[in-house]
Amino acid sequence: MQGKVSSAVALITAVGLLGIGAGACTQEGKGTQEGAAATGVEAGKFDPKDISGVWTRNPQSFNKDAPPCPECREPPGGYGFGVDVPPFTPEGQKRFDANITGKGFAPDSKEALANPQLHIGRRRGVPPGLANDPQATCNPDGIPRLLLMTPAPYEILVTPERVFQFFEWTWAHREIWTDGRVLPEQLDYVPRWFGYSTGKWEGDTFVVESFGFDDRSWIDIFGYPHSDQMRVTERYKLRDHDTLELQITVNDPVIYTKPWVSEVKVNKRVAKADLAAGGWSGLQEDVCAPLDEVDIFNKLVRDKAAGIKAE
Amino acid sequence: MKAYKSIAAVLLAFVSLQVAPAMAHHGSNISYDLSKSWEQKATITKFGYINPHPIVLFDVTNKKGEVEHWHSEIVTNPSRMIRSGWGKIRSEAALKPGTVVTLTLSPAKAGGFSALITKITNDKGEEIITGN
Repeated sequence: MQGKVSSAVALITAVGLLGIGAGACTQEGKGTQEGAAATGVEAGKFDPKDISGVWTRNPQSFNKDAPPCPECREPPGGYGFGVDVPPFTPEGQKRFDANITGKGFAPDSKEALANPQLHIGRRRGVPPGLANDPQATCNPDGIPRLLLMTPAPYEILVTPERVFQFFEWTWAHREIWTDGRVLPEQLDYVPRWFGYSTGKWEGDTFVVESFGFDDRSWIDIFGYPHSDQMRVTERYKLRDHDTLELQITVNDPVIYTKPWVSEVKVNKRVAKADLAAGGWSGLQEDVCAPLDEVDIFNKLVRDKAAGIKAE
Repeated sequence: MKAYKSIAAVLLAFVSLQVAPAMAHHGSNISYDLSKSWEQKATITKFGYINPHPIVLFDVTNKKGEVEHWHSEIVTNPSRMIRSGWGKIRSEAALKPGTVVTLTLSPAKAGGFSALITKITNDKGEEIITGN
């Protein structure tokens, strides 16, 4: 099973690189047709600044008939920030070593041994019960981690002075100010899990700059650290009406010796009809509540799977 | 023939990829030995339709006639379940305590009565919860 998944991922990555996946991805599916029809967009014509909508990296989670999107997929091991990890500073290495992840491949697994090219961050997973992932006790994921979740969608809502993002996973939101303000050189207030953000259009690209982060969040599921000096740049660009590309850059000289640029994350638009579930339509309230996750799941299932005896 | 094999490989890749992210999200590939799996008749004792990890507790009678109390999770979550037609009412009815089902399980690497459920089949032989 694991071998099949691993080789399947490798194969599909190759397919995506050949560009076959890109062709498949741009076909009109049921969901995308409805999405386009709902906003009156004709094929081939779209407003490059119309980024409002619900976006996912796995359209088939919402519509089984939607074309698969292999280019939305990621390298083996899971959905992370990027595979081209810059060298750590000594402080960065210390914090990276202190973050113990329950994701990626176990060090002695077939997948880890078959993918020695992957950064060690994707090959050091332990059973989640033995990890120290802040998410496992329902602490906020923060930015950029929350942007990397899949298939959980996020919604973008553009208003005159702010752009909002609403995330299904953890039912979180952030605000990006577009009223012309600039980020301070130094922040003298409570650090935020989601940072303080401003945004502006550079041509057809929406560029978001963020600063003022709480350094307890991880950059992604693999436990890559950041400091409270991290600055994040997000670049959103519509390739077509139903395809939103996102590339993120982390600039954190305390942790990394040079800026870390993510791969382009390809998101597909989810039509309203495809969000319908359980007699309701919209994002699910995918809250991580400690009463469920910590008191029930972790105790009854996660910890037992890691061999931890109940107290 | 070669072409058929290629097509089959691509299809397998697409199908497998639907499973891979869930595995990665839950860390299931680390806690559980997915290279091993077996089918098991089981009696549900508790089902929790909770976010983000539904739980299933079940009893198994072993060859010695002893009852084992197992703890498990399913490779899906409520937001995915509801979108594939498995809402709370239908799911809880299908897995109410006392229901006998056939589970496909992969064991926890740490041992014990702990497993990952990859498939659930009801007494009519229909795949439930885990299927679409």
